[in-house]
Amino acid sequence: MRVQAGPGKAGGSGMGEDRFSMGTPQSARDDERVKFSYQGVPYQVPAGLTIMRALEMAGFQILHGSGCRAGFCGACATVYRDAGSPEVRVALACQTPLHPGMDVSLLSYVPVHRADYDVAASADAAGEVNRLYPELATCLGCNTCTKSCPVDLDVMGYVGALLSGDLPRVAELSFPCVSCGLCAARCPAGITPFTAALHARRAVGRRAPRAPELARRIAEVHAGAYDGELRHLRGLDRAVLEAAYHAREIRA
Amino acid sequence: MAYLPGFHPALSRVAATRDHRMQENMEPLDPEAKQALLRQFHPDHRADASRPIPFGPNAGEPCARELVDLLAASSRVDPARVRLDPPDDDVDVLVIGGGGAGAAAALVAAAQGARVLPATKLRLGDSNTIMATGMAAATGPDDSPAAHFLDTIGGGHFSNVPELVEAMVLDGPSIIAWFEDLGVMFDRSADGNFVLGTAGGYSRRRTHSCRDNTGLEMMRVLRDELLTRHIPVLEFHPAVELLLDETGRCAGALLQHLDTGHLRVVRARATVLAAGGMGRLHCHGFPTSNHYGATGDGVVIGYRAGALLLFMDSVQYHPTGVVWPEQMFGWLVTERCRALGAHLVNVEGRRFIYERQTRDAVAAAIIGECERGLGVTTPSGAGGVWLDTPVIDRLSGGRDRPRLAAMSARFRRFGIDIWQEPILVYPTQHYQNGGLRIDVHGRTSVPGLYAAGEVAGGVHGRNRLGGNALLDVFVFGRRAGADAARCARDVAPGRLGLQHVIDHNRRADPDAVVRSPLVLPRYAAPDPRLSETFHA
Ligand SMILES: Cc1cc2nc3c(=O)[nH]c(=O)nc-3n(C[C@H](O)[C@H](O)[C@H](O)COP(=O)(O)OP(=O)(O)OC[C@H]3O[C@@H](n4cnc5c(N)ncnc54)[C@H](O)[C@@H]3O)c2cc1C
Ligand code: FES
Repeated sequence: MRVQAGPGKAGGSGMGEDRFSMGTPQSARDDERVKFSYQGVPYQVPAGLTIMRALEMAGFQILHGSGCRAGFCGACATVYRDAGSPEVRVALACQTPLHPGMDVSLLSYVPVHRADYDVAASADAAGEVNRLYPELATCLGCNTCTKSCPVDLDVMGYVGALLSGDLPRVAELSFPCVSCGLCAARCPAGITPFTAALHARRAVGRRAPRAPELARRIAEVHAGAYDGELRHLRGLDRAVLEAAYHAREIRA
Repeated sequence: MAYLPGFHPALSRVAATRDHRMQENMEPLDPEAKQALLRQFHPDHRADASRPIPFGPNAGEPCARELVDLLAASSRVDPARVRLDPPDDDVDVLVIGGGGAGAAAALVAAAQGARVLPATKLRLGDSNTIMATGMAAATGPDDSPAAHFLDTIGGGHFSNVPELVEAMVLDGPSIIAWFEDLGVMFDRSADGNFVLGTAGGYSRRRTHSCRDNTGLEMMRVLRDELLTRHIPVLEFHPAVELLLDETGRCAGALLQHLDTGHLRVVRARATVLAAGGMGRLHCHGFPTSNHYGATGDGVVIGYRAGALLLFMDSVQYHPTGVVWPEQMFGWLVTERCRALGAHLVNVEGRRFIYERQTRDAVAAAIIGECERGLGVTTPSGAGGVWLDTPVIDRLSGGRDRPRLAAMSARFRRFGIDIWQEPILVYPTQHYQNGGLRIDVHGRTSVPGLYAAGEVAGGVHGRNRLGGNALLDVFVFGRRAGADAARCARDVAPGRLGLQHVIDHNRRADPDAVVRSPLVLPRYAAPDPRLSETFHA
């Protein structure tokens, strides 16, 4: 086991060729190679990579299909099939370890449907979502959407809640959605669950009980209630300001 | 990939010392000790960290060397080959960048009646904004904009531009209200009050959240609102140079389609640069928490157009980037873990720093601990220290789990249960403290050119506090959008030109293999049949 103080010591050219800095620390075990295919063409890469890094190590410069690289943005929706399995499965390329023998393809875009609405206007948001997305009612109950969700949401559960008008439940179940579009791509009934859920969440957020103090704080700011104190702080010379900072009461 | 057997002795030490550590009280460092720690271990203080900028408005000033390489390189664009007339688009306001600052600027400018074109490198929302967990604003009953001001200025070592800090703290509460109106689901208690969190350097509880998907929630709502307002976003169209008219006024930009490489000329009465930071330049070879498109393009093209920079030698390394499992290398572990009580622990099972110190100090302490041989080493030789997350569970009796739901789910996917096991961490390049100099309206030193968000500098001085970036991007995104729309009513750009790029290319380093802006980091393995120079 080679010992090194830390990744910062690895040094780097700054252009990102350094293997450490690319999220492939010496991780990638060069002695152990893994075979996989991208759109049917075979490649070999070191073991221990995510699908995204495996593609890069195979020589691809990703243009579409890499965004946050940390599981938030849904840019890297991927379909794949494991060797020996008939099933086409889905994943986020930045979040999924490469399995030997996988055949993968980045999906990167789903031409999804969404409806316009004014979040401020509607009195009956539950009715509105169902009106704007009438296809919700054609849900077959097949659960394909749930099986297709790479962040493991109960998609069919929230489609049910949309239909019954329980928007807080929709919000609860759909909150971590990364909008990758896979549920919509695979729904046999042509439903776009996640855009309907976004509408529902915005309605819930808009109608949440407001923080009692917030309006007052904003009014105080507009009335200039803090201007004097800020002017005072800005006028202090550096030493006095530093002293004020170090003496401030910590209540966090 | 869970922890391999090699980690087990170190892991048991963390478990065995937990009870004892929970009784312990760590004291914050006094100001002198903190400065000494920074000088000794913060990467900005390494002898080779910065280099003088060779030419341009900030010539001679120190700047992160990886960025100097790009500032000094010749342009991706050969002006002699580009025909600028007629433009493809003619708009009031061009917004460059599809993160929080860009989306806010576009919405506000459009609301003022401007014809707005937002253009971005990847998809709208593929950004740093989408990953953020908390947003500061002085809304709490015992908080005030003045307290927020003092915390921010002290956190930045008193180098911040005070007017910008003042603008930010005063706008904070209205930004929260703006998001409420847009339908963002903030964490609240039953009475409607916000659940407020804290971060290193705060004197009050101040960060607002939407579980641990705050940036994601804001970004998807903003995107939905842009679509509702029929403001189409030009995706996969990075800006590769700004355009100036004969008076030196910014008059739009040259975009380049990522797939076809075709250029697109946008003429604009005002341009808002909101292209974010530079984590993907990997300063000193550090990993980064940033999104794929964070390659410093905004600073590069803005500087080339003549805009002044501030603090470009100051880079924020977030103390807690993931070291293990290796597939997660460099990903951010949110500061909320420390805010909720997690300890930082060395290989001997001991705490070594007050965890809620500002980020620069905590990062330096972790680097110091590893350099002293008190880090934990992975099989591949990377070092780190433990972030003892099970402490959070012990302190809250499990109640805080929902506040880290997204993060624990990400670790679970790679076989680690953060409620049972600690996380191995080491600093990761996180934030560009400096950037284009702006005034309170987001105006840069080039007429017609605005900057907002991480691409701008001055708000945070030389060290940013957690939660302040998200606030900054919306405050100055909105301010820049509003002023750009106003300015677009009064001015008309002259003839579009690239003379500044011609001048730049003459002075650029002829030997540099790289051309800038970089647009995307080069992560594709090179062709093994070609030599490096041939490849370039
Ligand atoms: C993992 C992570 C967690 C964070 N957590 C927090 C937090 O909890 N609280 C907090 O306050 N801050 C946090 N931050 C910092 C904060 O999120 C960012 O500083 C902030 O969101 C930046 O917003 P922005 O709009 O300026 O840039 P970004 O959101 O990064 O957006 C920049 C946009 O510009 C695009 N772009 C880049 N180059 C070009 C080009 N040449 N042409 C066109 N478009 C271009 C990018 O693709 C991107 O869409 C975090 C950052 C990261 C990376
Ligand atoms: S790249 Fe953002 S989720 Fe994978």
